[in-house]
Amino acid sequence: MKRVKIAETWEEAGNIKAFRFNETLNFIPGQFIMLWIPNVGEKPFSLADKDLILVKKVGPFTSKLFELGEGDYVWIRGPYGRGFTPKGKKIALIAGGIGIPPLYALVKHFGNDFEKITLIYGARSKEEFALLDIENYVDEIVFTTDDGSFGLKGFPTDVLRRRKGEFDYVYTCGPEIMMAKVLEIMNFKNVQVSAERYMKCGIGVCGSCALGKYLVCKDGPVFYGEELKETELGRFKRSPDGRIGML
Amino acid sequence: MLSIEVAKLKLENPLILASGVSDMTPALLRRAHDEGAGAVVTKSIGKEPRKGYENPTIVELPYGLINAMGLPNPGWEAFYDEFSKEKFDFPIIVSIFGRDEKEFAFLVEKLNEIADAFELNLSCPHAKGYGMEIGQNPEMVYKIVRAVKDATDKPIIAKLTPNIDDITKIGLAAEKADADAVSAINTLKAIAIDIYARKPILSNKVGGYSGQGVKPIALRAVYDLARVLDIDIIGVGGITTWQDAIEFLMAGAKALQIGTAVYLKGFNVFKEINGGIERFLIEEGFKSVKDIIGIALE
Repeated sequence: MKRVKIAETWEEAGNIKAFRFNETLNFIPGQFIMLWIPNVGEKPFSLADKDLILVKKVGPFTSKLFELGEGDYVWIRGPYGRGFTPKGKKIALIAGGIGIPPLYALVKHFGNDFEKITLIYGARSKEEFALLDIENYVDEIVFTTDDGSFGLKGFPTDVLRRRKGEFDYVYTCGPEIMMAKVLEIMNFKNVQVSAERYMKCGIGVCGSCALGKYLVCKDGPVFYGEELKETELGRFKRSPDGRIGML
Repeated sequence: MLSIEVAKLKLENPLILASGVSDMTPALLRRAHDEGAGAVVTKSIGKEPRKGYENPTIVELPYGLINAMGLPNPGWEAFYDEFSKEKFDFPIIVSIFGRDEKEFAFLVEKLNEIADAFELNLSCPHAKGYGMEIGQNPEMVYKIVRAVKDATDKPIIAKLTPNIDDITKIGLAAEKADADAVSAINTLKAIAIDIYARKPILSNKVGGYSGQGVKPIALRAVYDLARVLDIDIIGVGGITTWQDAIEFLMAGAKALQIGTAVYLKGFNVFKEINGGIERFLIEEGFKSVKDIIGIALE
């Protein structure tokens, strides 16, 4: 556990804030950290960069985090888990909602490994797109919104289905239903998925983030599509007590 | 060469996945077996679903971990629903916890068909009213083991706490009540403070210390128990290398549980330790792992 100072924060999108630390971490894109606010709690966050996380306000913990600003302290441990392995040349990033941070990290740090990068990014409305400066690292961006108020109407997976012949590899992070659809479209091949499960220890002890025979914190959070074939991804997840529940 | 019988269970090898370590689901238990565990212990199951404590629930230290998960579990009904559909080709030891002998007896009745054996959690150091709080009292241990033995024919393993002046007192109480085996030790009650936050790190403040740092203490507990008990002993506490495993076997443990080392080395640790034990036996001229159990006691 290490105390770090918040160097800057800004509002990146509606209800989404960026937090930059005054310390850089040695990380692989796709890895995550555990962030502790004393008296409040500790949660996992995917790293968008060596010193950056993007946070969506979803509950008491993130509300408290939103109150913090430049000069305040947070405590972190990590980075943990398995990150992305760059594969493919003409790649698509399929992002939904707040699934952007690990994909941003991937193209910012491994961008030179690829020839053409297409970001297909879906959200409910224009205000929800958290882009950072990703336009500097991708060749093309396709936006989709559920109601067509910005970009194409529909979901990123609709675009992938139409254009999948253009890509030799796909990276995805976002709502689980979307990622399950990506796997189906790609027939589980040539895909890396950044998965999410309720996490307690973050280091492969407690088993609360079980996904099939894997632990998301240690075997993941990035998985190859083939590995997820026999798992419950897209079908169910467990609550903190371990009971099987709805996605 | 490695097969062993412990608490009336036949194991391919003496290594068992310890309770509370990546053992929430059938798929993870199968993986532990596929990667070399001779048997597995499930997460501790209680009467009601519990989500456990808020994070932080773990602290990483140079020689181990302090955890206070807070006994997260789906409750016996959801556990039963999920596990009763599954078939396993290796022994499943179901860990249970309760407030008193009635709750323990209730749980073994309900989960009888799933378990090849039960391990009684009489030793979790961080859950109010459970675990260690009842497991430090030899009369309570006797009462619970007795009640459970009356409620099932499945083997009963009492998991003992080291947070007591003399662990043999509770070991003897379990034996007197007809336990088939004891496992020793559970974690040591411990705390970690963040000096900049100026407070304990764990949300529960205190937790249980496990891993390499507790190994000599666990080994001494097994050694002491082996000198006074006739029933089987399962050694647990910081076993990380095959040399650690041999020490525990020589101190009188018939089988060994591995927990924190799974975090350090991955599930692969089972194969690594089994391989080391086998090589040692061959090099030292033993025919079976049984030949070294308790030889350091003589």
